[in-house]
Amino acid sequence: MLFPTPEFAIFFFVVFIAAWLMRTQAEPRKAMLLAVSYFFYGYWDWHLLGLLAGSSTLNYTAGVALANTKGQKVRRRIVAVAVALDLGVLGIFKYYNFFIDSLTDLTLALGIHRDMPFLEIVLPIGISFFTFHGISYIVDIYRGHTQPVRSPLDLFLYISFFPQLVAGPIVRASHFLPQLKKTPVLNRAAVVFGFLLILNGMLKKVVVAHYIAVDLVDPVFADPTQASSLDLLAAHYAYAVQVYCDFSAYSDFAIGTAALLGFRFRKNFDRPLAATSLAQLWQRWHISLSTWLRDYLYRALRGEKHETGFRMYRNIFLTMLLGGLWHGANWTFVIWGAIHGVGLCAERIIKTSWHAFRTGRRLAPAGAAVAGDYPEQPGTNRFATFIGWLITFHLFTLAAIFFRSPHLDVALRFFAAMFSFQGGSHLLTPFLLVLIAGAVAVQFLPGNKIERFAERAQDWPPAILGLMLGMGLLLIEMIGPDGVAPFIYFQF
Amino acid sequence: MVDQSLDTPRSRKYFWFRPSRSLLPALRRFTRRSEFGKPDSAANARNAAAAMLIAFAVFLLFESEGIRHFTRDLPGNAVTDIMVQSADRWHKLMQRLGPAQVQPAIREVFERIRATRW
Repeated sequence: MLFPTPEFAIFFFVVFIAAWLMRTQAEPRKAMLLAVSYFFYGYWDWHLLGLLAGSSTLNYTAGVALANTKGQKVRRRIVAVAVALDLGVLGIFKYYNFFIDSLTDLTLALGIHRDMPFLEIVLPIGISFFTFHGISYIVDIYRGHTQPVRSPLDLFLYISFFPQLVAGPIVRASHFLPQLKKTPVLNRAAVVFGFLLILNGMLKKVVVAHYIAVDLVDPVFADPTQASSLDLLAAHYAYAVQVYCDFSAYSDFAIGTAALLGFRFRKNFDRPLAATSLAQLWQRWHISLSTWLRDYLYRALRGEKHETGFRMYRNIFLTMLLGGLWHGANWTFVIWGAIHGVGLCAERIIKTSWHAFRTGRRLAPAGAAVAGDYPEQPGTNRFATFIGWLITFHLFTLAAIFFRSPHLDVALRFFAAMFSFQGGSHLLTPFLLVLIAGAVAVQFLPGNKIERFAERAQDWPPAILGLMLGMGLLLIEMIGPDGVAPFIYFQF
Repeated sequence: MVDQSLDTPRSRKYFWFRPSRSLLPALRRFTRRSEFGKPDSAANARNAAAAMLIAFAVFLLFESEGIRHFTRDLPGNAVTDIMVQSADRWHKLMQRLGPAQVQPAIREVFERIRATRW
């Protein structure tokens, strides 16, 4: 069931009514939310419900085992086994054929001919996200950041709660589980905030991302050699905007629908295309995944102590490389991750050296340069900020060519054709230019504009709110396409 | 102010026949505001539900064509057959009254903008 569809609108309205009628009955409310979450997931393919339930059971059992174990060594083993099983399931579904493919290429290159055991594996939707939820729960218990839950209902709902189930945001157990213990509250600002996020998500997904993809990105990437340099240049900017609009739209829907059900999720995108450095970009892009990679991957690579020098840069690079590989079993994603890893390291080295040169002191070790606490340099002037934005933006859009290309040779042909400087524009229209430039321009507006508008509009009567929601959705529906394409991040 | 006379058996008899006296106070009661300073979740949820119903009503009026398509995509059975027939009748009514003609007009303007070249 896709968010921007009539099916979901009816489903959500029924869930909303039921959730608030059961407001004071905590356990039945949780059971109902769990049941509708499983219905939501099973709507695609009910066979996959077993996988979701199995993942939840594994993590619940590991949590209980951790709660009942005192010895540090045994606790570490429990975490290792649970995380290995979580990642093992993810690995089989996501990477099995990739490794078999690579192994076949390698054996052929060595002159060995073997029949490899290829399997027809369908990637279950949202598998990465519910696996990450499970891992964060187990590791947080081990680190003492959250308490293990006794009720399986709480844990099952945490992992499968329908707004965040399929494509995030990755909500931490320490943030979500305490909300289940409180009686849910719905204030008027949260209602308006939820409606505005749903409208914003609809506009980004159904209008901006759709038309940019259909009219420019898809035709250009289908065969880059047939497009002019100008169209290729426009398409590479357009794809960065498309992927932002598509993915942040899903987060908007998730945060908006959760807010209407009385749950608070943190922001997942904070104007990333206006970032003035790569470190800042990763603090603003898919924040829940970036912080997940920082806390569970980078920290695992780093260990307990703060590092500097080669080991720190190696860990930053490896984090981004594995982050790239997470997106898919394809060398294009590995290269995309490597570009960001090298970029983050280079940026860190340049900024550290510049800071040392100017002040005679070294920067503090990066607690986490990946989505971490990267301090902005004091006294940075506007020109330097602009140059920083220009470089960051172009690094991001150029790396996105690898991200979008189905194969490495498509990406290489894209670059070759784009820098051949031939031909005029055939696909870039004024309408597309307005969409692309407009989507980038709004990134420079204040980050809390929706929250501020929700505060102002909270006293509007329900009829006005309903008309705002109805007319907004209607206009988007009228100019939108027939049917909605799946979200890009569903494939991850 | 809630019309107390609504609760009498006599007025309930006319609930669906006298919308001006019955439905509006009922809607007002349904969407009543919370007391100042206190977040009344139940009242806010009722307000939100009312707003969603109004949004659905807007769709029902202006997107009768889309509703027609939606019912046709449903799996065929006796219930969905009735839904398809009702949606067809509703769309014809909306075409006759005018709201269904707004969508093609807006779409045409939008497509003209979309097709504009340099």
